[in-house]
Amino acid sequence: MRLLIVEDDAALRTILQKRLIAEGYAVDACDNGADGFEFATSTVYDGIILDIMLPGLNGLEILHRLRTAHSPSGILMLTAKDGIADRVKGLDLGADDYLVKPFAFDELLARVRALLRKHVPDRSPLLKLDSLEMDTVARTVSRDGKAVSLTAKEYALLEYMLRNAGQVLTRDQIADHVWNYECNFESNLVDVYVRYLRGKIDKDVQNKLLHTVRGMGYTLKVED
Amino acid sequence: MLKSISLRDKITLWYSLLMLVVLAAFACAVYFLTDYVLEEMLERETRLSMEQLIAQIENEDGLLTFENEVPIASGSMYFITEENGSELASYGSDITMFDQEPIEPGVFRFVKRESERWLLLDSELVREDRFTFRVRVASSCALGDRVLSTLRLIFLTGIPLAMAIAICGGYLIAKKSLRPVSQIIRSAESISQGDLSARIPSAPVKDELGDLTDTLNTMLASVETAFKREQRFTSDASHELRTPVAVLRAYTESLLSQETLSTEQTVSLQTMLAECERMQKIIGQLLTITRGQEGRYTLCRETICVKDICEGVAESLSTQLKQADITLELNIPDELTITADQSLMTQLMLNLTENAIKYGHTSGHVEISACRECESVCIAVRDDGIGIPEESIPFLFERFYRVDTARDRSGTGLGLSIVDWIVKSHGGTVRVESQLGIGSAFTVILPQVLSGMLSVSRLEV
Repeated sequence: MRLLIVEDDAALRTILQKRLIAEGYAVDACDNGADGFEFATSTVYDGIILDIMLPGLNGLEILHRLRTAHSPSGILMLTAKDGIADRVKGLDLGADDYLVKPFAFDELLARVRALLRKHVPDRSPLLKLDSLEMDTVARTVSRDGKAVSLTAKEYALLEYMLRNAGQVLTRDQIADHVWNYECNFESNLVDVYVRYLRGKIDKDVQNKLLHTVRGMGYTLKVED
Repeated sequence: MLKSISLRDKITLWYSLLMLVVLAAFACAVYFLTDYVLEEMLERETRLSMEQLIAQIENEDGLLTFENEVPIASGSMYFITEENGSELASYGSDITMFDQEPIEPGVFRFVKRESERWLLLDSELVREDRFTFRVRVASSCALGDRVLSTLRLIFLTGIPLAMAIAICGGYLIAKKSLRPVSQIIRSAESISQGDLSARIPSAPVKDELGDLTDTLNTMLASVETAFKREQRFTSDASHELRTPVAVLRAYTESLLSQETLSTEQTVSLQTMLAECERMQKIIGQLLTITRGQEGRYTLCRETICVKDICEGVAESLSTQLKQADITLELNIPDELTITADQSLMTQLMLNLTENAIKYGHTSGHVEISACRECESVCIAVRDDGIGIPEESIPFLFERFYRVDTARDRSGTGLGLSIVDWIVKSHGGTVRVESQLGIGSAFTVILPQVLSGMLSVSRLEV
């Protein structure tokens, strides 16, 4: 899943980005409001972690503009301890959640997972399609009850496809949500990753789930 | 030979040599001067004794009783005889040991007796009554010789000791004062390996080396700034170009979907579309390289199976393989794993394999093999294609380098630069062997020592 961090504190921004990347998310980061808004509008992020106090455009202003433009991204605000007015205003403007600084990284991770769940009808942290199951909290995957071991990016790809199960996803779409801006890999990298994933979840089973849609992209669904 | 030894050793050597010469010269001067002075003193004393003796003889009018005192310095002896040799008077028990010595009046002579040196002085005194006395004074050189031997001892033990102290001290001083130079060398090495952010630790003392360090650091800072600015520009320019190219592409695509186009228009638009795609690819690759070099890509190292990667890559390139009628062979042990970033490794294998297919002969072969070698994993991609001229090999990994500009228009010219960046970000090396008309082999060697893991790649070309 693709995340954006807008945070002006360099130390916090760097460590957040590093740790979220280590968790398998595709993460972009920027340090000011103007860039943040540009990033947020240039691609559809699954989640945005937005600091309120920002140079340039302030966080609430970005939030307002994004929601006015009907941005579907889940937005988590980072606020200062005494920023109750900001929190209220933020939630009213359409933020999904807030986190008070300083926070534990584990809590941030849990909030991000919750954020990514908000936009699917099923709020369960378990993602399920046929006999394919993903526990987004324990970060485990199983197929037909058997545990499947995935690398960080394979997991990220599967999570994105599971959250958009049934839809046809183009290579570019997949690349945008699984990798961040720092690596502009060619779209045939997506092809290779789909093959990796296929080898792990669709090997030696009857009901294949990962399908190629010729000329368009890939989809994860139960074939009729 | 002097050319190959270090400055530190050279300084110590010259300094020690000089020290040795100075000390030796000093010691010789002191020794011979002392010797000369002592001899002079002894001669003077002896002559004085002789004069006193003669004066006494003349005073006593030949009686030679010497009742009052012995008119001679301590450590000396005398002997007075008649012309025929019969003893008239003597002082000193052992004076007889000089009996054999011939008489040479007025001349100083050194005589050795039982390891002791003596200074002899003879004199003949002819009185008015024709009576002749022979006077011999013998002065012992024992005191002077003891002084000289002590001096020798001091010099023979003192000089080597002083030399040892001087050599050690000189070595330490040379080492200490040249330490900034060693640091400069180390920093320069790490900079030439690609870390432009390295600086020479500045010396606390503002001497010539301190000034040199500051000057070099200022130069490095400006080099780094220039390099970063260039990278920044490429990165920004590529970023800025993305939107216009995307717009171009979208319009071209929408035009192509119209049904009223002539064949000529369709062909033109298709060419435009293909070029848009190529441009997008170039921009994407440029961004990957520049952002990677700027250290903005965080490596996500995991244990991954090499065979899975190569099989995935081979499968996704199956269309190209079929088109070129190239057989791809994988020789990779099932259990071979590597600790690396999966996305980067996949991209690396994609680029190398695509290259092998692109420059392979129709109906040719490509072989991907991998093995563990000590602490490294070697992955080799070999083809039997057109090969690369030897003079081009050093430039292969440069951005936009093409072996033959006229022949090759299809690629982006960036694939191998990306390979280079990926390999470097994993601390590895890539080797190219090629023969024109026979084929090429790219061997990637990735160290599997887990130091510096998870660090952001900061290696630059």
